[in-house]
Amino acid sequence: MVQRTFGPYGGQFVSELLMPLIHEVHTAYAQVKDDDEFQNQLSLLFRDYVGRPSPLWHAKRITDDLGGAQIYFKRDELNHTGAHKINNCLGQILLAQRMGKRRIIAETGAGQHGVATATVCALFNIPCTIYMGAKDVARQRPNIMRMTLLGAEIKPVETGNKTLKDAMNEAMRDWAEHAEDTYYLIGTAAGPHPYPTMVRDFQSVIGRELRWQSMEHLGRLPDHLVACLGGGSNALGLFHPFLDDPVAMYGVEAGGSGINTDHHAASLTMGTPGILHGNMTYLLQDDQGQIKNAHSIAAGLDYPGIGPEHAYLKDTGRVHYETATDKEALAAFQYCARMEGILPALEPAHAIAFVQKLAPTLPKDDILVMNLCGRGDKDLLTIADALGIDLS
Amino acid sequence: MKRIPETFARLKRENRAAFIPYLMVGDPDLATTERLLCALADLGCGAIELGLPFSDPVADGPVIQAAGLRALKNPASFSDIFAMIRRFRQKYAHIPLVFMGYANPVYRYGTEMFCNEASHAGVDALLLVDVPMEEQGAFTHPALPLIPLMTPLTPKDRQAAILSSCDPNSFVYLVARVGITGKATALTGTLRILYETAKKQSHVPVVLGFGIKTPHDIAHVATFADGVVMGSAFVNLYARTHPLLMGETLHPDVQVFIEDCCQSTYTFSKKG
Ligand SMILES: Cc1ncc(COP(=O)(O)O)c(C=O)c1O
Repeated sequence: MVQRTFGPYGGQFVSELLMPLIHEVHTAYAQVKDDDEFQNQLSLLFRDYVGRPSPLWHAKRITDDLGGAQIYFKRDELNHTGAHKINNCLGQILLAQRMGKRRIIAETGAGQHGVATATVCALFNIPCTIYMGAKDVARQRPNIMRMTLLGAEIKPVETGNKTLKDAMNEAMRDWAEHAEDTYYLIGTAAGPHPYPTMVRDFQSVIGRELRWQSMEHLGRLPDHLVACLGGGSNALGLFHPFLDDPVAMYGVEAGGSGINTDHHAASLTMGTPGILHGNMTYLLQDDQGQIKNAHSIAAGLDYPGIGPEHAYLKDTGRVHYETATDKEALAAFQYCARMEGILPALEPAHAIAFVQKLAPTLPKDDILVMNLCGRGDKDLLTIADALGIDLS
Repeated sequence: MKRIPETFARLKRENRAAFIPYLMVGDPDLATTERLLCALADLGCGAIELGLPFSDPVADGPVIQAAGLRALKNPASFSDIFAMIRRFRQKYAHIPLVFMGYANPVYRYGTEMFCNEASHAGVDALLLVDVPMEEQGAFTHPALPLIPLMTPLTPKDRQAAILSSCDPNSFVYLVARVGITGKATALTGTLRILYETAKKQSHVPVVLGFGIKTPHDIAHVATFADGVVMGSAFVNLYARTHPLLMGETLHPDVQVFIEDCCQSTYTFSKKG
């Protein structure tokens, strides 16, 4: 059984044309989900290609500085290609290969999912086309270079706000046009069933590792988990294996210029339920049901929706959803760089900003683990720009 | 309520297929839509498909995307749209009007209220592009039947399920090719076989659409189909014609084109 809905959320809201493809993906995934050979193949790729397990780092200087809970980073930024995205891409490319697909398409915001997709497509020798909003193409230039060198075709998307939502629209149109031979490799735990469940399962390697690492190194499970939220895949990957344990969880959305402005991407905090990109979930929308543009300094969080499982976890209260603004994320980026010698991506910098607020309120023997889901190399130009640093 | 079955029955008696133009509601404004609707009804169109604009039309190509953006510049509310349709209905009691759009605006308005008000205003059926059979439950309402889609990729058993669940006061929309709206469709023998396979099992009319561009295309499809939808080609035409309307009269280019389309629906070959 592959979970189809999360309370009222999730589902398969796509055109009839895509239904046979989605059923095909579902059938294929249901077969490999508990298949030892598939899972072993994936585990070996995780170990030898990605470099898993990712370390659990005790961020001592930050811990001392904040004066509360013990802060640990789950270092998925050390993965090959520099983010958690590769975990999901390897799972899906193995699936696409089993399905005999000859062409891969993907959407990308920050370009991390695009880079990870281009990487696995090079490794498995399958051509790929990556859709990316023109605005993101401009602000994530290093990743454009990487994708190009990896052999991907990049299609800048000029419609709408020219960010992740528009890239996803264009990828879905491509899929409809090339329904017969193309596999759509969705980069987050959103979209039509089975993607939200499948992506979550592939990313859950993060939380599963953390369980044994925490037991082995600290002798117990963590008390608090924190992760940033774009579509929600790194957060679910961290949270999911702990949902039945007494562990507090915090998802941090992009607050942009502030959640009381029109410039943010806080779909759970400020949105309402609706239907977009194949699933029912929380969306930023107007009262006529038109989707609003999101805004975030972090291209990977700049999306007006959220994976449907988070919508459910919000309604049940199991996970707390918080926000951090562009400004707070930029400050947290600099803080992490100077305190720990780690340049985080702007996406997890949002999580760090929240950790700065949360940790001091917690007892010193509490264990807080934050998913450091990406490294900051891709963001250097954006950060230089925001901080007024002249790189020329 | 029975405008769809009654219209298709009448057209059948006349050896005609239904010509069904698609236009985007509120493109560029609701007053234009209202006059365009009246002109299309006067010219003898079989039915009219009214596109409801959505910010993220993932099944549509550039022409209909652009039409939606024009409509959303100055968006009409559903209550304005329903009021416009009520006025139209005072003059045109019989021509079927169907909505075609995406799920979210309807969901956000409230499906129950939407269906009741649309039906009351005189809309006959609703096609939600992103609501496949699996999700129809929440959008099924006695007042406003759904129009299901079928495509060349729909497997046989699924076709049968779609056809048998279609409301008798609605019709099935057969998408002529794989892809999004806008590009031309090759009118081949395969298309006819696809159509006839579907039609054989159907208790409701089956209309064909996607990539129909010219009166010539219509004449071809009309030899075997109950109805034929023209979307992007018609949107492109009305959007590029200036002025589209002078008072209540259509620009002669558009008028002649629609007349040709309507004329092309006579299927003399079907006679006897
Ligand atoms: C480093 C990084 N973190 C987070 C995200 C957000 O995605 P998700 O919420 O699915 O983890 C992205 C997306 O591009 C990313 O590149």
